Amino acid sequence: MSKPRSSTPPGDPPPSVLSLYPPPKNTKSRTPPPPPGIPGRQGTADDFPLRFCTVCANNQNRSMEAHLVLSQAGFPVISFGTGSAVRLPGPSIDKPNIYAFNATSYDEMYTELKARDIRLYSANGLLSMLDRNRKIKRSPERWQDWNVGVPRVGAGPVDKRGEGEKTYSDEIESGIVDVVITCEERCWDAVVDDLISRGAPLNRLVHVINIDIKDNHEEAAVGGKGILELAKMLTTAAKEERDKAADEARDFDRSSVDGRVPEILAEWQERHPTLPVLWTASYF
Amino acid sequence: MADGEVRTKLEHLNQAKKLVLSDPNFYPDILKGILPIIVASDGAIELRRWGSEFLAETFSSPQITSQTKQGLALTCLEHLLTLLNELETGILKNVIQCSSSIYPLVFRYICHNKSETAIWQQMVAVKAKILSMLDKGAEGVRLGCIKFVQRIILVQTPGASDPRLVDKSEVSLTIVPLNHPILNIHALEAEAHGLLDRLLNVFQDGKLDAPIITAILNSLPALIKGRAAISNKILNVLMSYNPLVAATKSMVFKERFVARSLEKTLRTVLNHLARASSGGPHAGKIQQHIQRLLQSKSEFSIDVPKSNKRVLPGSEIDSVKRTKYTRSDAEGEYTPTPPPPTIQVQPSNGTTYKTLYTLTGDQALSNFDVSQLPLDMATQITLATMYSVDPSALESAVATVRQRLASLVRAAATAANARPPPPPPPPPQFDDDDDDYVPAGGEDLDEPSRASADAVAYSEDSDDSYEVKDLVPATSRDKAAAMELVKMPDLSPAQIQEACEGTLDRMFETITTLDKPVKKERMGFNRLAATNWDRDGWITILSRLSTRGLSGIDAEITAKAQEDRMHYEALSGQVRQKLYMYVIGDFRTRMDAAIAWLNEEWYNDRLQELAAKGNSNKTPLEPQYAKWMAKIMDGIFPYLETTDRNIFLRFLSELPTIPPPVLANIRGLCLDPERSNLGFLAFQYLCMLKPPVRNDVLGIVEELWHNHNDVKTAARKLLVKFRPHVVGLPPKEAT
Repeated sequence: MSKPRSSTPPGDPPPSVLSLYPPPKNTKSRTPPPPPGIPGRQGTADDFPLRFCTVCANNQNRSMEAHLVLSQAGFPVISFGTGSAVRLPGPSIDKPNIYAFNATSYDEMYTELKARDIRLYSANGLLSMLDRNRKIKRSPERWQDWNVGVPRVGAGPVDKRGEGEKTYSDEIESGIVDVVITCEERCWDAVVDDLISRGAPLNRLVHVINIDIKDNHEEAAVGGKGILELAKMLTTAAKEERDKAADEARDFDRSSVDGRVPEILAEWQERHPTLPVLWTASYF
Repeated sequence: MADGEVRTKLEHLNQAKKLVLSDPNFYPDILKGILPIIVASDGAIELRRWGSEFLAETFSSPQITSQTKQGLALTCLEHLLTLLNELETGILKNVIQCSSSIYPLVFRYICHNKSETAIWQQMVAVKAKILSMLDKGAEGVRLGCIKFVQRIILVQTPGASDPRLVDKSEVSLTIVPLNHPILNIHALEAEAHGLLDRLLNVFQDGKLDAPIITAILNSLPALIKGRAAISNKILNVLMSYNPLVAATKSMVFKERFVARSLEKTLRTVLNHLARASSGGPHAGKIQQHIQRLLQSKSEFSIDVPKSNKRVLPGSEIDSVKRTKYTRSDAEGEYTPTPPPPTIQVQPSNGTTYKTLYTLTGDQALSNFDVSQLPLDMATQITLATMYSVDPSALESAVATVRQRLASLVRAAATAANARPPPPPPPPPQFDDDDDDYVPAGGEDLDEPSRASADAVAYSEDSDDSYEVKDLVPATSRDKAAAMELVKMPDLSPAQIQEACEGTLDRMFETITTLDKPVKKERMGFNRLAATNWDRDGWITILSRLSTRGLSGIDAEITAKAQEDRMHYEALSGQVRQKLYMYVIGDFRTRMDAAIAWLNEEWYNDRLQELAAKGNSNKTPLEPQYAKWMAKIMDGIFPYLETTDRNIFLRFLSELPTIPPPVLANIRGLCLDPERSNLGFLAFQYLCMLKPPVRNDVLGIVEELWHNHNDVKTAARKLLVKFRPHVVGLPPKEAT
């Protein structure tokens, strides 16, 4: 596949999920959805002081994989896509399936594609991906449309198992996150640019981190694990700082988790040299 | 306070929070209710943590109107001041975030309520407290302070002055009434400038304090876009900032990662600004700096191994997306420039051109045979050298050669006195353009141009070179004299014609690709025929070539062709034919060209006539105007439509004379039922504005009136006006 590099603005990446096509032969390494008995649940604020947000182009593969992994571990997490529309591979390279963000739910996509060509879409892993996604939240969301600061409570997947039970975490009570993790440099560009455009009305600090992950199931799984590790490292550091501050002695500690972010990222990068990382401190 | 009590309180607070989350209308009441609990300094720290977060979220929430927030802000101010005495980073961060949101609200309130000194005092105290933490707080606190400072700068500088651009909700110095008892505009603005300088300092102190710098970078675009008064200052600082410079020295992994992030942030910010100000005065500068950054980035090879990224077998599929990481780190082969050849002022014994012009002492270089180089390469080298040669070096080289020549002249003069001079040989031809020119006379002469610097001297010197012929020793001179360049045979008329044809084709190709000038400037009498190389300029050149430039040459070649009894079509005729084809190709848009050209023809015909009158020996050239005018008319008549009225009438009006065949053409138009109107319109126009042809026109109209019933009415109208007697009306009084 030798499509030319398009010169679209950062907010509008080409259909990157298309690179799933032709379908990879081995899709086993993908993180399987957890059995119904062990849903991911959001941990307490004491244990998880940092709230996360994962972002990729289509809010389908990479960001959703990370969303799943983080929420299984108990992190408060939400996810977005920065593209202009959700693009999924179709029967051929020039016929992608295009859906609108926020409007079409994962469930509807799943049902539609299943009816259209169950063999093709099972073989290229689309159906299992959508099946996973519809259990996490309702529909893909566009970053640029996110109304930051509006509480997100009661969001969740369509088929909740059992009465009022949350299957995965997709809630951020304050509507604000502390760390945004994008999965592609283009998405990072779009997010940082969008934050500047918004003019930071909330005055709230946010770390925007990019981890470059290829858009296929295998790399998404590898990247998801990396993101989980990073989230754990950041959270551990945040708790350390909080505990230090909460000590009776209460020495004015010069350091804080915000100051340690570059250090932590550099440490993480050394452990994951294959996932190039980028970071900036911005404001909502 | 007992643990259990705190827990119960927190539970209650959480319930209250749930309530406001579900309905933001409860915020004012609930906040007022819980405020004493959550800020009490003797309460549990957990409560204050909870409270500071709640306050920060409340004033950030997009769900509360700024009017409500303003009211809440006034009640919270004093508590914020107490909370700022906390030492815990988390609480401070929240309080500063909250203060950033509140500052514009309170400022606006003070603007409208001039007597609220107490409130403003509290706000000023909060501000002072936070600013004191800008440099020495914990990192997280400082990041909050930066945002607070950005808010202050936004508020305390004048906003947009254009009333159309003013955002009513925006808070800036512009909204402060003059003579405000509390708010002193100048003091506030001075403070803002001072704070801005403090922010911008980080770009100059060379430290890699990454979170601070990226946070400032991300805060600046709002200032640049919203505050014209300070945007230049900020941009200038950004333009001179390159984070990679500080980092290139460091080999520490973290610092290189940080530098990369800083550079990328800066570039994203600049890209944003370039897009926002596209077409603005700074867009070009910003783009340049982005290019510079990309440049230094490519030189700064980053340690993150990109090449050994995990690659799936057969996953070249999306390698396109990866290309940005596989940037070429190869810096390109770099050959050090050799030191410039030193000029040896050796006393030349002046026997050959070679020694005369050889300036370098490098033996290897002087033995190099330049004639081995292909011509185009030699030309390129020479041109490149010409462009880059140091003028002073060139001058000293020229001076040296001059000096040698002078001494040779003296030597030759003494020698010439001793014996009679031989017949002067033809001067060697020195051609500035042909540096490879090698007089093929003998071994001694084979290299007049040596290294490129010499070549320069050589060609620069060509004015003086003729002196050499008397100076070189007789043996070489004879050899040189025997040499004669092969004279190119003259081109045959057919070849000339062919070459001309090709040239013309290329010119017209150029013309058709040129855009029409957007706006014609009216230059009046200052107008020159072809001031710039646009389409009109080319047309002028071509038409003058055909009318005047080529006629002399044509006469010469025609005579020659007649001698050889060959057919020869005059070059000017060729040009005319091409012009004709060009006009006919799209007569609607090229009418201007036709008018310009035909006017030239007419003028030239007159000139020829005059010349023939003044000089009886000269036969006038065949008049061309009427011929080509009629030809063009014939060409466009089949395609004329009624909608072409304007073009056609303009065409008729701008031509000096209308020959009879054209009138016949127009008569044909009158008889075409579809275009009859156009024909009569043209006739009417000619009658009214071109008196010389009026009689001819009316003759035709009269004939039409007599013979053609279809057009009788239209013809009658014209005749009624100009020849009433024909249609039986009494002749009009002369008016």
